[in-house]
Amino acid sequence: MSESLFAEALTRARARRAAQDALGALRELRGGLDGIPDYAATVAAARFLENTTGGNAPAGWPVRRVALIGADSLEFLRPVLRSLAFRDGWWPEFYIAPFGTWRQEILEGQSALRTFRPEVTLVLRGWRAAALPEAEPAAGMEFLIGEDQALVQCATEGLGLVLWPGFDFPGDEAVEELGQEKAVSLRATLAEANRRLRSGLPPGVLWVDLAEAQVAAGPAWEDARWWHAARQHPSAAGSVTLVEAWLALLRARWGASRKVLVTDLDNTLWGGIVGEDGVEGLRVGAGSPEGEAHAAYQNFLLALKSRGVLLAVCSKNNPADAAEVFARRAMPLTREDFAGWRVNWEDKAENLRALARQLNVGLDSFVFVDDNPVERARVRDALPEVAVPEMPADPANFVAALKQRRFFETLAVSTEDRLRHELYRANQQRAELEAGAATVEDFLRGLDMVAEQEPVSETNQERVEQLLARTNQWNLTTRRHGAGELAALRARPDVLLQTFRLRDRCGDNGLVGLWIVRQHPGGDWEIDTWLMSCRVIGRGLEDLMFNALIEMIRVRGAKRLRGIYRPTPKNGLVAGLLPRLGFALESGRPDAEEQVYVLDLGVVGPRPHYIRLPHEAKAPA
Amino acid sequence: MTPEEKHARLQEIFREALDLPELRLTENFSMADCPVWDSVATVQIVLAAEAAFKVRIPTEKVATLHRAGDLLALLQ
Repeated sequence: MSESLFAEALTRARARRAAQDALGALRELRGGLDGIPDYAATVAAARFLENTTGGNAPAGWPVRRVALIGADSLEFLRPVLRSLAFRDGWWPEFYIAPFGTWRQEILEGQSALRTFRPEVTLVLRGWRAAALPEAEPAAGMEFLIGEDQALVQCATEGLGLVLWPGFDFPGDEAVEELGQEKAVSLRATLAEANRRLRSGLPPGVLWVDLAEAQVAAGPAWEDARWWHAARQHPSAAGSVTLVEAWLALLRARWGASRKVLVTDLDNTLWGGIVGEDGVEGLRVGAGSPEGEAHAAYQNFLLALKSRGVLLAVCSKNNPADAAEVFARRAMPLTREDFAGWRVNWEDKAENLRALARQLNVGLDSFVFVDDNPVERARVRDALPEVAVPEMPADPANFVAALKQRRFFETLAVSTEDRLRHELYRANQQRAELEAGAATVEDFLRGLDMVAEQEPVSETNQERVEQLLARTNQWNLTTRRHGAGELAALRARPDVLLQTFRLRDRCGDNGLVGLWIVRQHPGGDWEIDTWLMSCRVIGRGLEDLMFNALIEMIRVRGAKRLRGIYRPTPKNGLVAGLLPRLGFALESGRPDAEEQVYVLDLGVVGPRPHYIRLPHEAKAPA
Repeated sequence: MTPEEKHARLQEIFREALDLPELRLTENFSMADCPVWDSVATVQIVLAAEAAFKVRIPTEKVATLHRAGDLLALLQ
């Protein structure tokens, strides 16, 4: 399936390139990588890319410096990373360390790796690199852990975002201790080393669970032949699984994980076509293997929902027919599990656009699941930013096909994630209120909004990390501080970090705002970060946050406040924020990478808004 | 598959692996006269040939594949 998707796309891409249409060629190629390409396909795609672009990033694509270091051959991974990062919309500029030099590269201050100044450092070493004595593996463990912890500690400085691997396991080891109470095999020792290394990992370093990737790849993870011939580990097939895991972690860290799964109904959510088979004729749930398979797909969606992924339906059907299935058939999913619902005979690309507007989530956060190749091709063509996984013909393989792509990887699941569906439900109520209000002011006043402010603390730090990682639109600087940086900032007396929660008569929005300000040695204060979750845009919370900021730094003697706007493709929403609040442009042209503004605190008064604090009887405005 | 068909299929595999759509594959086509034929390409060519011809190339041959003729000989 997948292979033919890629082969056909490559043929079309070649034709476009031959016709001097490089952009069209790249678009075709990108669509072809939306299945689960095998190693050969990723290599073919990478070579095509490099030949088409001359080895440079396509115009306007974000470039990131990526270092690849490790114990074994690494060149094999380059084409996989090149083509799958291209699919994800960015372009790595590589530094690949020479074979077997990874320890020196990390430890030496002037190594080629450090001179390269990577933004991302990917580390790879397989189980052989643990070099545990075969006769008594456990005897080598303390040394291994000590050495590894020293190395990873050294890697926290100057290497950008570091992805540190656990150990995978020898695939061919006959353990012969299946029933033993205390296992001492190489595998048991490596598992224990993984547990200890992971729990002692320095903040900010991302752990790559290589053993999990090995399970995901199955027996194909290892190929002894290529190990002996070329020191390649994992195998060609395994390296695709590994790169998918790396990219999923990077997407999670960069706020680019997918957030919405849109599913078709007929032959996707259930077996059969409701318009032809009737409600009772559909196969879903116990009673047939096909029905079981569709129920397993529904259960997978339910699990995604509990982790905060929004579910939506997009189906060509009579709305009454679809509603009747949910009313009359017992299924894992109910109508209420879906935050969006587009059942009609309109074009699916148009329906997806409508869903994006309704949910207030970008199309680049969407995954579109449909059994019909024509619909998939239509959406791929019209909306290249939507992920359209190639679905297998057999519904029993739906879940595996989606899991392999790791669309929804997150670094932590917070309470807010679990409640997201309630939040969107409350939002629909608000939309109804707004429609019924005469003016925006009436609507805001009628909401009876209450804000709570508190510093970043142990209890809310996880949510704050997530906001930093995911907020793209209402975000002045888009600085992706990780757990380690956040902890360091909290420890400094010259940095203030405040969070804001907002609730109203329709429900609690949770923790939705954050600013971080720091004092410069000269006395001026500067806004390092100011962001708000998209769910509260347009309620005036920024005015309350601004007043709180001014008040807190005035108490500390501030006279001037600097604000920085760093434009990204997504944060145009706040381009005019600082001037609107009275800041004057200090440096940087309106199109510069960084615009610095300054505000004289002597002249600025509080901003009006419609939000009260918990102890206030009514809002200021 | 006739030898001609095998040759045509292998030529297709080389063209795709090396992104040389016009390549005319001869037995003497070798790594030495094709700079883009690197070890990564060898892996790709071997994996694609194994899948196309339903064979498995033994370890000792994998490391010594430098000419198209070497591979053709293994597929006969």
